[in-house]
Parts: sequence; C-alpha cells; structure tokens
Amino acid sequence: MRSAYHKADLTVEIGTTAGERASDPRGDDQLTNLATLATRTKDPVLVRRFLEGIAPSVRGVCRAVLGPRHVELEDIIQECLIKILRALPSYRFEGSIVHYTNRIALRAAIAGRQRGRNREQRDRALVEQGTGNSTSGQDSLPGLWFLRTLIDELPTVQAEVVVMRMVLGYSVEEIAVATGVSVNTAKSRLRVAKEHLRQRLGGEA
Amino acid sequence: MKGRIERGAASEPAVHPEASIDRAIAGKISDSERETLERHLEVCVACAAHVAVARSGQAALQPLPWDSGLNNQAIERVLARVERGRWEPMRFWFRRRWAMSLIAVLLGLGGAASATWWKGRRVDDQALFARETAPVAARLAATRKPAVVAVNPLVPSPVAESAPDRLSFAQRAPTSTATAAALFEEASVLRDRNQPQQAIVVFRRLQRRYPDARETRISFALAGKLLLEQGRPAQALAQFDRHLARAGEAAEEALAGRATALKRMGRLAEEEHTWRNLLQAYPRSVYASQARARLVEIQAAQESRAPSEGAPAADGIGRERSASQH
Repeated sequence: MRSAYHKADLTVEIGTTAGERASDPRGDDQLTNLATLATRTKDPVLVRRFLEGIAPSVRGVCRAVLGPRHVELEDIIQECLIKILRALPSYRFEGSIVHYTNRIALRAAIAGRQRGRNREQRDRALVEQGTGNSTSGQDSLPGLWFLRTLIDELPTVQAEVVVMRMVLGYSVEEIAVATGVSVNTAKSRLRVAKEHLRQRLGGEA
Repeated sequence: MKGRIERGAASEPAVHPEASIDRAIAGKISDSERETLERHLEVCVACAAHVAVARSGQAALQPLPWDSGLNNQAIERVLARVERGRWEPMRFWFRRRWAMSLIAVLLGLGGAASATWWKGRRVDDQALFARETAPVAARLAATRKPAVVAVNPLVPSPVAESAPDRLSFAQRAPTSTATAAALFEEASVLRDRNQPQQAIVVFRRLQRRYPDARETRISFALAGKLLLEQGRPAQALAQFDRHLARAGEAAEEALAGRATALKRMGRLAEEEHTWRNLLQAYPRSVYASQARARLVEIQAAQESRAPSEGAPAADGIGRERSASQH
C-alpha cells in the first residue's frame, strides 16, 4: 500500500489547485458581486448566472466526495445549489465566495454520503467479492475511492478538512477561514485525520 | 497530540510538511525541498497518501464533456423550485401557523354565516341525531360492508348513548388504516360538500383514533362549529372545551363558539364569562363587537330581572334558561 503512493506521484504535473482557482481575484469578485445582486434582487437572470458560475465547482466537490456513479449525485448537486441560494444572505464576505459555496456543497455531499453509507458498504462488499458490479463510490481513481471510505469513518468536521485539504487543495489557512475556526484548530483536525489515515493504511499494508 | 501520533509507529513523524506538499503539488518546489519531502514521504504513509489523493482529486474536479448539460439541467430544476417560493428557508412551524391562520379565518367566516342562519332556531338534538344516523346505518346494514363508514362517536354524550343502533353498528365496524391527515382531509371534503353530519362522524373517528394528532386538535373546533350549525349546542360545547383544553390554534373561534353554545343552552353567566375571556384574550377579535353587544344584552337582562328576583322569568332569556333545564 505504501509503495503505491509517493515519489512517482510527485513527478506528475498537477497544475492549478482548486484552492488557487477559487482564490482567483477576478473570478471571485465577479461571483461575489453576482451573489450580492442575486440575493438582493432575486432576479432570476442573476440567480441563473450565479448558479452557472458555481455549478462546476459544486459538481466537482460532490463528484469527488460521492463518486461519479453515486445514485444520488444529481439530487445532491441540486440540493447543494438550493442550500447555497438559501445561505447567500448569511455570507459575510469573509473569505472567498467559492470557498463558502464549496463548504456548503461539501457538507451536503458528506451528509448525503453518510445517508447512503449502508448501501455503499453493501455495494463495496459485492465488489470485494468479485462480482464486478459498479458501486456508487468506486471509480478509476483508487486514491479517491480510498478517501471516500475515510470520509465514512471520520467525524464530519475532520472529513470536511480532509476533503478541503487533499481534494480541493486548500491550504491550512484557507481551511481555517472556510470553516470559521482558528489555524491551530484546522491544523489539529488535519493532524488527527492524517493519524487516522496512517493507521488505516498501516492496517492494510 | 504528538504523543498520540507516535503511539501508532515510533518512526512516523509527528509534523507533516503541509507547505512543502502544497508546493510539490503545484510544481513549485525547489530541489533541496523536494529531497526533504521525499525523505518524509518514505516514512509518512499519510502524507504519501495525501499526495496521491490530491492527484486523483484534481482529476475528479476537472470538468467532463457532459457536465455542462447536466449543470444546466440542475440549474433549471433549482430555479423552478426557487420560483415556487423556496428561495427562503420555510420552516415547518411557519407553514403550520400559516395553515392554522387560514383555518381560523375560514372558521370565522363560517361562524358568521351560521350565526345569521341559525338565529332564533332551536332543534331537538336527539331527534335530529336519530333522523340523520338512521339512513347511514340502514345503508351499511344493506351493503354488509361496515368498513365504508364507521360511525362511532368519540365523545360520549347523552344523545349518543341514547342511540343504541348506532353504537352497536360501530362496534361491529372494523377500523380502517386511514391516517390522521387522511381523515382530516376526508372530513374537510365532506364539510365543503355541505355534508355536515358525515363530516362530524369522520371528525369523531379522527378524534377517537388519533387523540394526540395535530389534526385532532383542530378537529374539535371544526366539529364544534358543525354541531352548532346542526343545533346541537351541548355536543358543540364539549368539542369547543376540548379544543380550548388543548390550547388549540383556533382558540378565538372556539371561545366564540363556546359562548354561542352557552347562549343556546341558556347558561347566561357562563356565556358572559366566556365573552369576557374572549375580549380579554383577543381584544381585536372579529367577534369583539358581537361579544360587547351580547354583554350589554346580558347586563340588561340581568338588571331587568333583578327587581323581580325569585319570581319566574318573564323575558326571552329566562325562557331559554328554563327550557334548557328541562
């Protein structure tokens, strides 16, 4: 298990992280303006433009957490978009609007995943038995599939930090702002999650 | 925390170089830092997994060709829901209060209409009850399908007890599995179709089967109104009292109905007390003017009766009271 990760992975050109994309000042400002106007006017055109701006990011978060073949993926994406619209009046312009919406999407996706945990475990057991049936969580990215099992095992706050850090590419400081906690708390949550990850991998090695 | 990390494997580092990992993933790491990180990854399986997962994560976040269409579809659906009024979070209690307010208004309108129609009219409760339940029992006995209508009044009343046919039929009737909401809906439909007797029967079935349901609480007020319209003030009074005892949402309507029922029964002192309670609790009630007018009438009746206290009542109210005592 250990040899499957490290070294070779470092040589891969990853490109711009989600965190960097989110902190693109121009794009973020535009989305923030759209969000403000959409909230104040409730103009369907503005709401649509705002949703079009965040939908790719929301879909990415949901797909990363739930898996591309999750049966409720589309429903949860819609649920995320509605939750984001409802939460917009509460946005206090602290941190990036994309981080704000991503966190809402992330929470909804983790909740959706936890709701379907029993079904997920049953499907995974089928795959382990070699039936070849597709599961909602498995895809061609084994690292992510493993991460999803980790999400199921961790408390929500730690799962949230793990996804923000490892999948969305947020820095610890960005996680602290997005989750509304201190940097030390964010670091602590990440450290505990990594400890769980290490034990999990050690057990499988 | 450090000790906790080291409990699993003493060789694992307690501090993870998050900044170096970020720079490595972004491809902005220096050679010396890269060597240090690689040494760390040799011993830290968690950070090695972090790097690998980040790689897969970035791939998962990349848009797929069909994402645009799916996003548009999702946005259309979300906008449709928003246009239906779901922009703001709508809590259950708010919806419930709204529904209860609507019911209260409907009750008020119904009460005003029935008060006009019903003024000065007195109907023999027992005779009416027997007349209206007879066809139902006969029809059900003929069809031999007692589940269609189960007529078992929940509230024991002298009138109900005096109708042995109805009770014996109800004892034979099997209970259906309708929910409280379904029974409430059924009764409301019957009420809308101007079938008050059947509506009362269904309301009572609801009250018997689901004594703690929200629908039951409201049904006491609605059934009370219907019973008042049917000229059965004693049973109506019992229904209103049960609604008030449970702090029902239509307390204003129930108080007005209670006072009206007491008036019909000639219990002037209690009627006066009820009207005063209503004015105290709901000074801006739609029934306020009616309550004040009635209080004046009661006062006048009491004053005119005072000089001849002890003598047989000569006014209309006195007749009403003496009639109710029989």
